[in-house]
Amino acid sequence: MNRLEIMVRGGKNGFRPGEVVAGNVSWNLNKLPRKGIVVSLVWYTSGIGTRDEGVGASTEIACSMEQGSSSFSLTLPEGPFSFSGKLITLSWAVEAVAGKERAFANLVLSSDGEEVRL
Amino acid sequence: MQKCDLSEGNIKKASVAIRWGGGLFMVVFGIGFMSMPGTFALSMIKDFLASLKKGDANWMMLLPVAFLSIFVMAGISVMVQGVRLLASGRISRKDETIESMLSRKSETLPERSLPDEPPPKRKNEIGGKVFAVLFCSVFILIGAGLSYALTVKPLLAVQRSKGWDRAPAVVLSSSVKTHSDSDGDTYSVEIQYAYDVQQQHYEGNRYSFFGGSSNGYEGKEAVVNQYPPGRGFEVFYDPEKPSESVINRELTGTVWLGLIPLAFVAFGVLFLVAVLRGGRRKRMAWETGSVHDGPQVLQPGGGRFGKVIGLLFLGLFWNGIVSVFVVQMVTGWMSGRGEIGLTLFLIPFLLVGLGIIYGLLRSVMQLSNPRVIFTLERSPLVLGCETTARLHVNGARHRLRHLKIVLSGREEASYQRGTTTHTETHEFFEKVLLDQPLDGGVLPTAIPLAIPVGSMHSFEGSNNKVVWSLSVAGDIPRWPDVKDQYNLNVAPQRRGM
Repeated sequence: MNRLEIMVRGGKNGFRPGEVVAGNVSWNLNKLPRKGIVVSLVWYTSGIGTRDEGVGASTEIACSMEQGSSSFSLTLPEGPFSFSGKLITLSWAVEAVAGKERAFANLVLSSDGEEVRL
Repeated sequence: MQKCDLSEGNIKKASVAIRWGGGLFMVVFGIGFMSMPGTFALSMIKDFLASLKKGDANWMMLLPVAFLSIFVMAGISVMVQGVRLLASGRISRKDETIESMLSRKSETLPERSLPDEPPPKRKNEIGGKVFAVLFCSVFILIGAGLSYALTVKPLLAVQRSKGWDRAPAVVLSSSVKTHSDSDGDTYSVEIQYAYDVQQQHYEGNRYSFFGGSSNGYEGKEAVVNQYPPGRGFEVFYDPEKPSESVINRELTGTVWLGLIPLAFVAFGVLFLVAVLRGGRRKRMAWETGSVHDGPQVLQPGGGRFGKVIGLLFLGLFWNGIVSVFVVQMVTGWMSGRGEIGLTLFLIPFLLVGLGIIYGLLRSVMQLSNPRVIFTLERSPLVLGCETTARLHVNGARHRLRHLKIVLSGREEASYQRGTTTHTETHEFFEKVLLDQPLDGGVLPTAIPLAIPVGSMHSFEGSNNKVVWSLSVAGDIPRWPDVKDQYNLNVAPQRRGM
């Protein structure tokens, strides 16, 4: 059975602009993904509007074995901040993608590490 | 009193009812919406093909076909959305099921912790874009085809014929030919003539390169009267292919008719560009690094002159097309063959056209309004930092009786429903910076400007936005008021701020 996990170091989920998100990706896959494992800092909107999304930073982990683990570190951009309003919610996550397998950990990006409430 | 039971089972039943009811309604509405214009368009295409077969194609017949195809495509689009709703139980707000919409609290913000659901997979908008490209291609191809047939091809022929030789010819027969179809009668010049080139006998029937039939009998009759049977004249022929000939190789006024279909090309191209660019998120100035720490003069969004130009083109496009049908309708009534169906069908289009003209007149009047100019001492604005906005009024300041300036922050969320894009807005911040009568009063030269530290910076996605703006409302007696909006670029705090 395929297994892909991602963990942020220290279990931290509140970050400030420019901070480094570091962590570990572990996997146990039946088949090696062609493109390796891609770890990305992604943001996306939810709510009443059609979804918008973006990638803040991305890195690729080359995996030569079906089972293993690797660390990663990515730097967060200045924005957009995580926020929640009446119509729009913008969320951040660090996600790992290996072929069809995905794993993620949610993050908050703002000036104080707390989601902005409108 | 009956209680409203919002149990999960009832919500699911309601969602199924909405899915089937809404889906069927959209399918039926889509079919109904496109049936009438579709029938008209098919009838016109049939007439056009018949005229093409006879060799006297009236290309102008494709103009109303292009107009009607807008409604046909809109109907198809609504129908497709209805089928999708029936098939999937989802509506066009891509990420939200009906169940979640029904249970969504709209008035209060829920207490929120980090969501457990994974980030959505990246969107694949290829299907929608393919449809949009096909939709736009119809307009571009019809417009370009019409322009080519009506203007480009005849112009090229006129240019080419400048090098043609002349030969004596004699008129064999001449008449004004009447072409009758469901839309009434049109006329064309029919002159049959014979000529000899290098002992070879030829016959031709081309009066000018701008063929086809059109309204107006008298003009054609006058031409035919100049060429009675048996009369001799000089014909122009192609020395490399003597069977190609023409009586009149001059430009005629109808050549410019081909510019009208270019509006369809412009519409198709603009729509196509908008769709293809739509997937890309615009980057805020603070993201691209194009910010400058220094004074900045703010420009109002949607300039007044741009509004006039936009309404002028919209008015010309809309009323130009509607006028074709209005002329047909009025001609019908004047000749005692008025069509009540066509008349009723045209009324809403006429009202929209009049509304555009009214809007155009108002926006022209607003061009002379005084304009408030803001100069920010520091740009971009940063969350939690204060700056000063210097005020200056350009133009006839004495006409202003009252001035109000408001700083506001709002969310804007757009979503597709059927063929239309809806945008909902919610203002989450409002602060009146100035609200005072100007009858002899003194306008302050500067106002302080600050965005609260715990708020959100400017954000501009393709469909979701957080917009900070200064709104200026100026009261002018017996004249359209000043209503301008100046968008602000609010940047997030940087590290160490």
